[in-house]
Amino acid sequence: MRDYDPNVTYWANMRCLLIAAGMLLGALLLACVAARADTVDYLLTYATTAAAQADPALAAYGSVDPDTNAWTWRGDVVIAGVQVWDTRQDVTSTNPSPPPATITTHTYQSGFWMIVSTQGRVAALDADAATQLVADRSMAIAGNPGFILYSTEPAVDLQYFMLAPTFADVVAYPFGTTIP
Amino acid sequence: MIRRTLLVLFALTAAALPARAYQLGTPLALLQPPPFVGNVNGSQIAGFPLPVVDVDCTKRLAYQNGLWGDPASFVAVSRASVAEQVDNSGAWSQVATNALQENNQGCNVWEGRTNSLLNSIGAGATIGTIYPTTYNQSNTTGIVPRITAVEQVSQGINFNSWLLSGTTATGTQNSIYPAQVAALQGQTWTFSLFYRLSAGSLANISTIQLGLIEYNSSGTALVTQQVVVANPTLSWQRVEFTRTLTNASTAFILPFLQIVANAAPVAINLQLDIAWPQLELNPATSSVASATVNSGGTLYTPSSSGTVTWSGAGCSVNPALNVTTSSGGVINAVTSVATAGTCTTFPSSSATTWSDGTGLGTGSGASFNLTPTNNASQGLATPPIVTSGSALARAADVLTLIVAPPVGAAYMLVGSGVPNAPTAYGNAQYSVTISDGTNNNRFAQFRGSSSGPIDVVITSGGATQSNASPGTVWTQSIFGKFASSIATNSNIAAFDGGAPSSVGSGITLPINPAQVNIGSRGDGLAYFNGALQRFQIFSAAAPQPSVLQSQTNAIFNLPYLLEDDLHRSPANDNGFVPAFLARAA
Repeated sequence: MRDYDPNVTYWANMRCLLIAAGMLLGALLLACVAARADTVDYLLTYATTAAAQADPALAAYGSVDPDTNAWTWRGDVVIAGVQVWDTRQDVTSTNPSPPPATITTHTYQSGFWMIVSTQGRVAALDADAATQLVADRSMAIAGNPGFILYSTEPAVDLQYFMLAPTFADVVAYPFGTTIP
Repeated sequence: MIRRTLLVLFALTAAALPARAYQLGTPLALLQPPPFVGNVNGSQIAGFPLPVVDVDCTKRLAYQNGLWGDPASFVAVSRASVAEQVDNSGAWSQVATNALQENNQGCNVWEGRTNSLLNSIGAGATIGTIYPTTYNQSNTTGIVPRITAVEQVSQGINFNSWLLSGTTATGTQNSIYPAQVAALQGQTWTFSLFYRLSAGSLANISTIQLGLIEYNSSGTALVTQQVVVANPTLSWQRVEFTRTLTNASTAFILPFLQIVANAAPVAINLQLDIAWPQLELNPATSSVASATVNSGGTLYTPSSSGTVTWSGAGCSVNPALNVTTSSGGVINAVTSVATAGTCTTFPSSSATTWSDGTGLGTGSGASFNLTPTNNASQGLATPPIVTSGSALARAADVLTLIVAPPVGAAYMLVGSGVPNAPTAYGNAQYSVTISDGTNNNRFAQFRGSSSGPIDVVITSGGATQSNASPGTVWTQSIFGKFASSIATNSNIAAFDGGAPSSVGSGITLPINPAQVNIGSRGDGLAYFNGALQRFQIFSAAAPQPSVLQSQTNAIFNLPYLLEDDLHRSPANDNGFVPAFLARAA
């Protein structure tokens, strides 16, 4: 029969505690890693839809539909045909036909604009010359002011920078459309 | 002492796991499949293996590879937006980005859509005649609607109350307009809203209508079209109207709700709760129904005939027109439409991007007024996209099994659900697909486009294989059950207990079927647009053709009967889950 040794028991307990703490830490780390995949929205622009379809960086986000033979973007992560405008160019008029209504006409930017939403940053999109804006939606929802990760627009102009539609989520970006 | 404390803590944690596993959706390991898998009483279907995957979305139970839990534990979701879903009681709730839409209706899978109306919650109104921002009204009755309750919520639905009360003076119409939206000829739009009668009555009300007005870029009304919708009741109902825009000069559309009274003077008094107006562009492609000359151009071969073909953007198949020219070399008539074409953006009347064909020489500058085919029968309102200042897009749902089961050399799909697209819908709607993640290798069950037939597609190495085609129409909004098995040179498929369709040759199995999509194709497109209630995958010892032939009834009918037992028997509904939890614990 083994003699009782308080030191051995103590270290055995400590080892047990350390293992448990390690497991807990590991679980927390795993949870953190899983949670770190922020939702990131890329705004891209091309001269034409054909140019967008030909961009190798977008190969994973669209394809020719074998049923219709038409190019189709992945509806789960892509908004194709986003309209972009500068509110300083808006023109307000009154609709001559009934009902009388005030109409705000936007001057849309030319070309083909689209949003690609990803889980975390995507190097190919980061490096793509078509990328105009990168925003971390998860950070925006959390109220983190640093959610604009990249923009070709000067910060001072972003307040006038509007686009529609954006993906529906708990918090809309401040550069989305506003009620005229 | 510390060790003993830890042991107690571990024991308490382990004891709490089954309940937490169910609540949190963490899969729980079992020594044998739970009773809902393929059978009710623990007895296996004679001569038939249990499914390797069994997901019952309505019960929120799923089983795969010795694990059971909430379907969300087994199904990965890609959807870059929130989504709204409704349960059997009519209560709406919002589902987070990339989370599974599941409730007692099933697992909901929808294509992506945009609500172009900026203010569907009706914000900005005050009691009286300050209407929600972007909203307007017009009337010929002399009765000005009053807002009587603002930004209310009922069953998860955001609404304002609008009161029409008084004696009509001259005309009969009161219209409410939520906002004007940019639009083009050839597009097919669906306008929808929720409403209910919250006070008063429909006395002296003739009809309630939804409509769309097409405007040119100067704001001049061009075309108005409307339809009578179901009268409001005391309960919420959603009404909708779909229209393909016809005028070549259309630049905007204005949707409206119109209350039409009997001939004046009459007393009316009704209060409508109006909620979640939505204006969404359907993905229907346009074709040319007819055409006329807008501008004849110059320098074409005089007194001749030939074909002009669209060469601009927007069409996957370019329209072509048979035309004639005058003695002066000007195109003076369209004799017929040679090719109707397929266009996502309809060629505008001012566009001169038409290539002249044989017989017309080298003229230029001609343009045409095209009338699009009417695609209204394809339109549908998808679940609400709630907006409060921005046009917002709901992304499509792409559901895949987190771990695809090894399916072996013969396997079978069984499932059920309710598709919500019209049978005339232009895109196929896939229920379950086993593939290599592409369309080159796939075995899939789908509801076909144009008329809604149940069908199967098999592709191997990029080559289309022979397939069974039950062909039965899966009616819109009607519960249906499907099954299809595959083996080399064998495919059998059936729908709703009907006679199976089968082929016995010309089938090579798809290569590397390592991905299972629920409600879409392997490439994440062609969405089910509805609720998938239950699906099962039978594998490994799955039926060989001879077994299928001898046990057709059992294979195709028994799982459904069991499913019906589970779903519809009050006894099972009341006792199934608690008993199941008790067994697992």
